[in-house]
Amino acid sequence: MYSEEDLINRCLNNEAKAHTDFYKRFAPKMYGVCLRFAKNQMEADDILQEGFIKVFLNLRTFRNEGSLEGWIRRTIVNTAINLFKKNAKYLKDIEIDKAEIVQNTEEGALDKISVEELLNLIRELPAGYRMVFNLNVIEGYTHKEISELLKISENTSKSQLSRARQTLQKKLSKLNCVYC
Amino acid sequence: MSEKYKNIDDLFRDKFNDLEVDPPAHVWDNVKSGIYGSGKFGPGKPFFYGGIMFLSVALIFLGVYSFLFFNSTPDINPEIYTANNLTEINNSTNKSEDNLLAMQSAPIKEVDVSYQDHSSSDPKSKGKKKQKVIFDISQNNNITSGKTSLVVTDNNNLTKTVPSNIQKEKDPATDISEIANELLEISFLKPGDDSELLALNQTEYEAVETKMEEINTEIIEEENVANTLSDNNPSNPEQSSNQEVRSDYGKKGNLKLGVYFTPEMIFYPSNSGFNNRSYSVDLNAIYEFSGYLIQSGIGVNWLSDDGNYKIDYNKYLGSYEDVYNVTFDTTGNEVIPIYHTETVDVYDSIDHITITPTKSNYTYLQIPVLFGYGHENRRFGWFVKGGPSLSILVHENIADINLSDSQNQIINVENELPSRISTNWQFVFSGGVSYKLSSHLSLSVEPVFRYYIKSVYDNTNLNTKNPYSLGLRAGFLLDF
Repeated sequence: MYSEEDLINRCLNNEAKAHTDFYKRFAPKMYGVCLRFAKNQMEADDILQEGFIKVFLNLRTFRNEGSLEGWIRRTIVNTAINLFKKNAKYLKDIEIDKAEIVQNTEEGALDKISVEELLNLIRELPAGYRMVFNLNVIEGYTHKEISELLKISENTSKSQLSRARQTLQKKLSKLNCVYC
Repeated sequence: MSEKYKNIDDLFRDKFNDLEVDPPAHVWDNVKSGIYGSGKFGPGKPFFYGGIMFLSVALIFLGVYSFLFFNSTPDINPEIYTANNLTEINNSTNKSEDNLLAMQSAPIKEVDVSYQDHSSSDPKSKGKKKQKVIFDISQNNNITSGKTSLVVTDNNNLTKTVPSNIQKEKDPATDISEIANELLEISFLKPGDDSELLALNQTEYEAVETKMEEINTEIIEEENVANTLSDNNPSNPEQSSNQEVRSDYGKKGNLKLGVYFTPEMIFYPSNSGFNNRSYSVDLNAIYEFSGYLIQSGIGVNWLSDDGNYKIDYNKYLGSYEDVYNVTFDTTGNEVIPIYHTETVDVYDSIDHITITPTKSNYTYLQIPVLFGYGHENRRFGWFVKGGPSLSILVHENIADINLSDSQNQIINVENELPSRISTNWQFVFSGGVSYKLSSHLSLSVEPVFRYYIKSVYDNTNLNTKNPYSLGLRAGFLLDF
């Protein structure tokens, strides 16, 4: 197993095997990210493909100041954002006050929910909800950052997140009933 | 909500934290074709650049060769031969391989008929009265005088120059062969070993003389016909009162050197957000012949792309003095503690992101090869031309990161700017007018349309395919 630095250098030296190793090392994790952002598997494939092409073509710009995986992840997420911006026409503001928070859930029932089921829940969300939820909850972006990235207001970002949570709660409740 | 998951966010974070899923195999295949097809990676890269270099060298070689070929003046013999004389060029020291040199440098004696022996002085040849000779025949064109000299050389260094005339209606090659055949019919006699006088018997000498007279008479007649045709030709410069026309007459082609400046606007039909401007300076050689033109050269093209820097950073909160060691000074009467410190910067643990606009500048080398047609009438001229043009990215200048607070710790920087491919081909079409400022300097203005065969950017998903540009090329033409 090569170190990240060696792997990068070999990739920059145009070694075909290094490209394959690089992809095999990071693609599974990045595909998990893509599946969260995409509405279906085909779109996830596209994001991964385009994202990795960008990664390889811009690998020389990577600074060794942060982790390589983090840099690749940023690239993949940005690719997903670009795809979203290309497809999304507009995002509506939603009144946050009206977003309900469902708190009552059977203890231990959530542990039984599989990753695949959660993925399906996220995929069923509208594109805007899914994007803001992923960026804020999973990737850790603030609403200000999301507003800059998606070119929306902070309030829109907050309202989309609130509605996403509300929708997911409802769906989780239904799933819980199955496991109760 | 269960105790493990305080809220819905924790549930999703936990479940997705280490999610790894093997992607389908076709994705990697597509990624490979994407990166190897970009020209930045893959086994084809050296070959690709090698091909470009070869093509560039070939184009330059072709240009230089064309220049030399079309501008080389034919060998001109300053002597104008008269039809009444047979001229024998004799160089007593030359060998057979030096015939050409001898022909150009040796003094020309004009005699009616004279022969000198430069063949072997071998006594064995003595007594040979008659010998067939083999002739080397070459043609010496004299464009200025409008005449052709036929040089007949035997293998024994006997060189004779037989004049003939150029008659456009008649194939010169036919003339040469006819005259050569006629001469070959004559049995030249070799001089005797004493080499003082040509040893001809009277009968044979008369036969030669008669034949020569016939040839000369025929030549004179043909020359008269040619002169009559030339005098009646309206394009004959000698008949023209225009000095410029006279001086240009007989030139095979015309070479010009052009210096151009071209501002262009590049349009992206499917994504107008990428529309941008470019400026180029070109130095081109233009060869014109019979109204047609070939243009090639080299140019530099500058353009820029607007984009964003996406910077991940941690905010600088301040610093403190960290005591990493304490020692005690006991040399005095009291114990004095000495604190060894170092300054430690403190950054916010929360990642921040900022987006700042940036501009990247690119420089391309341009090599066009254009073909066209034009016409020039006194001062004004018009032309149309088109052809391929190769652009090679030779320099790119990506702007530095501009973060408002330089003390912040940058974690990662991503340039939200699609990178450009290193080479691209275009088809260029233009048409314009020229105005002659002086006999050697012209002004040229031409609108230019340029169609890019494929996107100039790496990422084909950006909808930047097949851009085109409109520009106005203006420059000066230097006429040689």
